[in-house]
Amino acid sequence: MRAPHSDSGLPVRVGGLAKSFPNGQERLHILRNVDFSVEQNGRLAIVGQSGSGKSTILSLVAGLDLPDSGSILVGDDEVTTLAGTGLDGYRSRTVGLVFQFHYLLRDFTALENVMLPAMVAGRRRTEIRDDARELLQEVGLEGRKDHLPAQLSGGERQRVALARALINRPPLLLADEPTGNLDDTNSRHVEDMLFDVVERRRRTLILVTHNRELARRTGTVLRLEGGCLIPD
Amino acid sequence: MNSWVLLAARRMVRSGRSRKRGAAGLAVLGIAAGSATLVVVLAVMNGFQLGTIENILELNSFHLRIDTTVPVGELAAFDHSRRVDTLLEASDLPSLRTVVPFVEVQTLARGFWPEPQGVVIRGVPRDWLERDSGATGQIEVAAGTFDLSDPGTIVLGTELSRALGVRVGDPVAVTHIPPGGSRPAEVQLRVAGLFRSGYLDFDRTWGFISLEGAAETLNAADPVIFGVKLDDRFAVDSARRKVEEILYQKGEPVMPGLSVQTWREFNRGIFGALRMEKTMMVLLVSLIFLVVAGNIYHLLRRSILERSSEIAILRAIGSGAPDVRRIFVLEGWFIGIAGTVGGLTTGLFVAANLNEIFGVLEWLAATLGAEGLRVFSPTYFYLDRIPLRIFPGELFGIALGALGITVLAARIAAGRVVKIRPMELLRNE
Repeated sequence: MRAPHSDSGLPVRVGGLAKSFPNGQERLHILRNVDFSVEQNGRLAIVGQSGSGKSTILSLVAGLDLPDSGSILVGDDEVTTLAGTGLDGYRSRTVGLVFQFHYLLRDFTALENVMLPAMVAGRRRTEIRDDARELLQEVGLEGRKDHLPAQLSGGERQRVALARALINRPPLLLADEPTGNLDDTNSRHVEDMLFDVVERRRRTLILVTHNRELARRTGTVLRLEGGCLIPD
Repeated sequence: MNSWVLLAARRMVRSGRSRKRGAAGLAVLGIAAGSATLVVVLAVMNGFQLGTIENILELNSFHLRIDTTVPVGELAAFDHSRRVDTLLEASDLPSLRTVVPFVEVQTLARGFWPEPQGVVIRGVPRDWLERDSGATGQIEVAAGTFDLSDPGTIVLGTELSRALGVRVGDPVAVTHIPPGGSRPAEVQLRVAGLFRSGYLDFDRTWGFISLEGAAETLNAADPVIFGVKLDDRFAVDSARRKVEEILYQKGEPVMPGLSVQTWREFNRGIFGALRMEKTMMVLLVSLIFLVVAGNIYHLLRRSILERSSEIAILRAIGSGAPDVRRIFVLEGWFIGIAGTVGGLTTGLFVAANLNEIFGVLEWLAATLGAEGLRVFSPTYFYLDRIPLRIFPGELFGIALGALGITVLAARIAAGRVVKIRPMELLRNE
């Protein structure tokens, strides 16, 4: 079993990405020719209207879906050619995902939810437990590690989800509207935490949001319009 | 198996929603009810059938039955060195327990009552019960003695003695037609004892006299049969080959008209019917498992649908579809194991205490005013208690069947996991 990435982020190069979905008799072309790149430990925000295809870009980079055409290079891995256990390994060790909704497993405690990706990756249990505790401490939830998601507030759940995304020390963090479901106070808290963690742990971040203020914090903002990315 | 799969399956079973827990509880109860019913049904059927089978094998067909055409009257004068029993007892036939010559004579008997009764009189060696421990185990001397030393005495089945209206010491007039169609001859025999085998047909129609009695007193000319008992009756096919090697010298049988039949061949009809009865009963009771399998399938399908977002997140964090599928198959295993263990335990308890449970039911019925109600009546079944036999192999089979069908249902239901695409999580725009 490969050790998780730990030292720094990976560069991302995306070129000629196209994706369409069936829509009755026709196909709906969501992405037509998407090109972008993010340097190692760099940050990028993609903004756009709802339904424009922002999340689709993330799903393709995360290896959750296949493009119609194009290339996605993360470090040395060509994501579009990965399959089976290779793809599972990529999702497990290279990518950390934070969604708009926390998607924590309701029957697992906060600590177990954070530990789960590392258990899936086959890491040693004692090492995982220490890492998970450290991460929960980092997001300010060490005292709530034994609580179930139902016993946590919305902001706390999202912080647990952030810790879960980081447990395998993935070099690439993908965040899809990470504060979309939170009130202003909690949004600010989670945003600060996200950028703080990315900064301290030196990760590459691709953020999808319709919140321009949040997007601007990345330093590089691209807008998705008509299936193509253009500078905002 | 990955430890997280086990952890996830355990959590999902333990903390399912109340509606799901209710459905899972019903599935466990269904498996338990099916397993318990099968255990009890098989224990009772085995008890009844094996009682019958052992009676037939030990008293009637023996393990190997060697027919000859030598009349019983000529047996004493037959060349001793060419007799079946002499040759087999002197051979190195493995697991030979005993060889018994006997003769069956069809007769009509009349006792105190004027109506004659059809009786099969078996001529056996005087020391038959000493030589054949298997027969001793099946014969209970109900009155008098099983003493055949006097060729003029007979030992009757208890039910036959009742039908004839005779007791120990009473005379019985026996009429038989000698082979060849000569005139019927009637002889008087004295009842030396009464036996009970527990098999109604034998107790109702059988009487025993000595071989000498059959030859001299009855003057029977029926052919002698040799019954062979082995230590292992299931090794009968190899024993038969060996017996035929011994009894055919230079291709000629040592006794005229010699033919060898195994107990399987001789009892093909009745044992086939018994096996069919058991198979059908198992199949019918097993239908409950099919119903339960359907429940488990729907239960897990619903569980998978309810948890589709959790399945998607598991896939998104890198778990392979086979591992996620295993979580739900394990849920099926948990249901199957709980149901099977519960069912086998309950079934064994009920089977081991069935007679006592019936006793309690009869007592309860009597307390409630239904005096004299018998759940299991010896009058109808010719048995005092319900015979019960449990075989570990059958318990293993029941456990395997219950678990197998549960896990199969779970596997089919869990196939849906692969249809859940993790990208659906990101379709929130």
